[in-house]
Amino acid sequence: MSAPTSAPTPTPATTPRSTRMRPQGRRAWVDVLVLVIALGLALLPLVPVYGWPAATPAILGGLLLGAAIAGAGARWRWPALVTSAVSLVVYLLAGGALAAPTTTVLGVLPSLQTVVQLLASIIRVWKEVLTLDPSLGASGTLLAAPYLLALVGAITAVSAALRAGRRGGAWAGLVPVAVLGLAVLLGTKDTVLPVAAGIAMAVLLLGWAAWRRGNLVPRRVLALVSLGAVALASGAVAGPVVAEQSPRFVLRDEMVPPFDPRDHPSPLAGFRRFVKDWDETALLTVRGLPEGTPVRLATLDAYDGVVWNVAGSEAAEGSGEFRRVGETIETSVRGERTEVEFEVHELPLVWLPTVGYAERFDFAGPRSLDLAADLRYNDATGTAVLTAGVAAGTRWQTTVVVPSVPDDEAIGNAGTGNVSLPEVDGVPDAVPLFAGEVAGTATSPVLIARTLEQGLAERGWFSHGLTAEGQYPSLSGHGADRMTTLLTGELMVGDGEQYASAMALMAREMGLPARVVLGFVPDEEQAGAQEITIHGEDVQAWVEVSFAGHGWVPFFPTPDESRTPREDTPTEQSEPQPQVVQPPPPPPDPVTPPDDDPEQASTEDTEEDAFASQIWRTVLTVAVAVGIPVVLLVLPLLLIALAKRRRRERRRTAAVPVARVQGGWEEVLDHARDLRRPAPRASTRREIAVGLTAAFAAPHGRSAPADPDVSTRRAATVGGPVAGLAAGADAVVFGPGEPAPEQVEAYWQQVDAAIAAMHEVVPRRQRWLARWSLASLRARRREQRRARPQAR
Amino acid sequence: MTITPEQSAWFAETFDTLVANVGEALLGKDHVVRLAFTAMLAEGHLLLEDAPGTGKTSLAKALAATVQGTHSRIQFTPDLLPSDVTGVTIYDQNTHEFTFHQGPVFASVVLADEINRASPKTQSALLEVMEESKVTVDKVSHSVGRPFMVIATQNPIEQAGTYRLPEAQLDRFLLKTSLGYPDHASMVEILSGSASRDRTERLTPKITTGAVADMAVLASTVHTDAAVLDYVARLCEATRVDAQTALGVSVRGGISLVRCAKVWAASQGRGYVIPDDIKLLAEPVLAHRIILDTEAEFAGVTSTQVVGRILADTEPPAARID
Repeated sequence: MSAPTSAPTPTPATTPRSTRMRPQGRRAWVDVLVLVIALGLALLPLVPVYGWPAATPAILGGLLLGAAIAGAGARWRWPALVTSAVSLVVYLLAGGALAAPTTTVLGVLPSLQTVVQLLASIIRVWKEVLTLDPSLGASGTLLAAPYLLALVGAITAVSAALRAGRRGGAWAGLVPVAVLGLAVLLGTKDTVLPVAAGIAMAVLLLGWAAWRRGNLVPRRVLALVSLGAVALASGAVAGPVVAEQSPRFVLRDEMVPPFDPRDHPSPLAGFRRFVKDWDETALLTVRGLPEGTPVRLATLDAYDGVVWNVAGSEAAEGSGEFRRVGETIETSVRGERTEVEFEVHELPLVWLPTVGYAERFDFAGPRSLDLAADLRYNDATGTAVLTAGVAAGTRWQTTVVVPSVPDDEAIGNAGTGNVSLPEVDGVPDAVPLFAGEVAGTATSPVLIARTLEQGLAERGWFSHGLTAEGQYPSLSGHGADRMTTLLTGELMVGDGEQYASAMALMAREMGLPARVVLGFVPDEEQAGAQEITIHGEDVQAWVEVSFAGHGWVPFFPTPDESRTPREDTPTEQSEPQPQVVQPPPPPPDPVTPPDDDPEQASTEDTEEDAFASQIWRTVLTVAVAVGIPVVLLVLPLLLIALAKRRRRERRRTAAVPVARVQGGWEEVLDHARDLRRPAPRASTRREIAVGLTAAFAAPHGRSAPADPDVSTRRAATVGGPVAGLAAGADAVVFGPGEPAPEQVEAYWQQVDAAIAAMHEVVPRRQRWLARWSLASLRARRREQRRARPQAR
Repeated sequence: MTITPEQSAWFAETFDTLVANVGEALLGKDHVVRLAFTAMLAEGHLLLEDAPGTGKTSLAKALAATVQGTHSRIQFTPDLLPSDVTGVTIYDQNTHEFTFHQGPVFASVVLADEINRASPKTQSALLEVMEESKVTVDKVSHSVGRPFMVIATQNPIEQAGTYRLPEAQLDRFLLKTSLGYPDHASMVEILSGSASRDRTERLTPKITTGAVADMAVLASTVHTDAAVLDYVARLCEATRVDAQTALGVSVRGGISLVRCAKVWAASQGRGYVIPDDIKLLAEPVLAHRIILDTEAEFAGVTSTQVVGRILADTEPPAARID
């Protein structure tokens, strides 16, 4: 890094040069060191999000690069645009190695993908960081968040410190504080030495700011004591914010990640748990369940050779999507409409029991609003989830449409439904063989399905495999090998999990759109009762096949529970089994960021609070995701505007009237400097007025032709007011006595008029650039620096 | 007491009248004329250095003709004696007394033409009068009266048959300037009016000697802020520490600069001095008081250039000193 020494000041011959330059150079180094350390402390809350090994290079690299850019910018006085451009280039070049190592060539060289992803990350990474579960590690471009915060924070803070005046530069200390706020919001509840870090940062920044502002004189014991008190008090105030005494507020908690069914284990794989662990447990009570209608828990339409699972929204259209719902849900299914009431006693899953296709959910109890906010409903499969899990005691009433089940005659020769489902994977060879053997002669889709159902139900034997209860051994699961065992084994034995899975796979092989449903079928004793209590043993899995014009029709391929194989049934024959090639294990799910906003708000217009809170949460999410980068970009501009406004007010309200008039003149000079027309050095006001008039009359840009008329007009527009101001200021400053308040007021009006005239004659682009230009702020700092040794 | 705005307005108006009057004889040389009047109203003396035939004598004569009062001219030659300047005491046979016969130096405006052609002894006689405003002959002092202004002209030092003025004596001239050649338009006009041998002869006096004294008093009351004085002091110090000077500006030089600036400010209708006045007058007031380093001299640097550089390097005041 180049030495960010201050601008070389012309030293009068009376002052030895060496005594002047060194403290300024040292001071700049202290500024950089203090701010980098403070920013490092501020970014500590992000470390648990990524883990030390991943976060350290990104944060340290960002800080050092940012400080280097700011230092170089201050050293060679880059305008804001150049600094921004350099920052962007450095962000992209170094970002590959520091923040997105997985996208680079050899872990260092940024590839095209790196650049594209890093650019997109400026906007997208914030939400990704909030929605993914820590620890995130170094995958993708997730590290762009700490890297960007460190880089931009360091550039902003160091630039402000090096370029602003000695006293004004202390405001740069606010940048680490702002970064700390963002880091806490983006962070987790786990923290790294919160109290120590908070106090260290407070002491460091306050001490530095005092030193910058020249208040730190060791002899002033009182000042030191009060400084220490303020530091301790701030540490004590900031401590609880950073500490865990009350849970820290982090945006992560407020973010509701979009529901992805793939995050949850296949409910079908947990089939045995129902019959084994919750056999006699009352899981839920249903009131008003139409007779013969099963209760649905989950609909599974994706098979990967290991399990049937609920497909994600992007798998296929037919899989539907788990969305937030409004007050009512549109359903296209025709059938009997009825009211059903549920009460869950114990069902520790995310899946919410449903019947038919729901039109509305009304949760009861004090948490009804939270539950409504957690609810996601998939209208394609009639499945609902509560993202936070279904707690015991959850009660709700639901209006449902129960489609009538057509018989085979009604379906007749109807074709299969036009539904796209996720492709099944890793289907064992036994499945098509068995399907062909059983249903090879069937003539219509419904007959194929029916033949498969009957074939399984009639040939198979039933067992939950609970050998402890004397049942026939039967393995759980429905992977490819279990299917092969089922269909080609000596004895076809299993329960709903295996039979439904096998039938669905066979139906798929035969070209039928089929899916597996996990749910409960109440036992016959309770059938038709007003209030039905469902136990674990009521669990069942069945198959639904879609027919054109009739929708999804259920098939129950599981043999009757009474069809249990007897012990004496010959089982252990040493017949060689065909070697089954196991399908390769499925590739691990790639960590892909969720879509930007998969939870589209329902189009239903509602005034219910629950829905309003949903909207607010969405708005908050979007606002945070968009706001953080916007704030990062806008913050420097805002600081510049504030600094200029503050400078103007200070000048206008100076204690001495002469100083007010003089400040007015300086305001004009600063505007001219921001407009890239600095006043000539070592000149009197009148000379400056002449110089400025010429500068403003000159053609803009090198290529512009010199038009004498335009130049004359510009010279007249700017020259008059500026010359008047110069003479006026001279009269007040060098004349005897003090000016009257009205005189000062009139002078400031002329100042405003002159500034307006200067802005009027330059092109719009320059006007715009001038507004955010740091030129005048930097120049004032240099002047103060020059003036200081003289004042001593 | 400070000059009032009305007084400064009157001052400026009168000043302009005087300048316009001289301007009739000396075309296109307003700035030099203003400097000349500034020297007069600051009660100092003016040294004009220029090539022969540029109008030095015309300026001196026009200046003298504008002020109602006596004026004389001394043509300096190598054989000029001090008594030819100051006057002599002669024994009057009728009265049997020694009586003092005033020399040409007893006048309101004295034109000392080609001063560097006379011997140093004679030069010193004049310079003594300039400093003390009186002539001492045979232990009797004779005051030359007020106003008293010497306008000396000299040819550039390098010309043959000249005696260089010693530095200490150069310091006694408040201002040193040169006329330079007229611009093209003025030249044409001068040529067209060449029939009249001497334009200065047509000039009529515009101001009494009393009024000149009043204006000088008025000018001395012009307000000079401490910041401006600080600026003058910084300029003077800069000439002393400059690498190219052997000797910087004396204290008298600084005083002279402030005096001239006051007159100049009043002539602009201002009751206060601004840094611009200082900047403008620094060269004519200070340059001839600087003695250059031998090396710089060999390098062809002039004291005017040195003053210009110091002006460019010294930050003029923008604010009052707290």
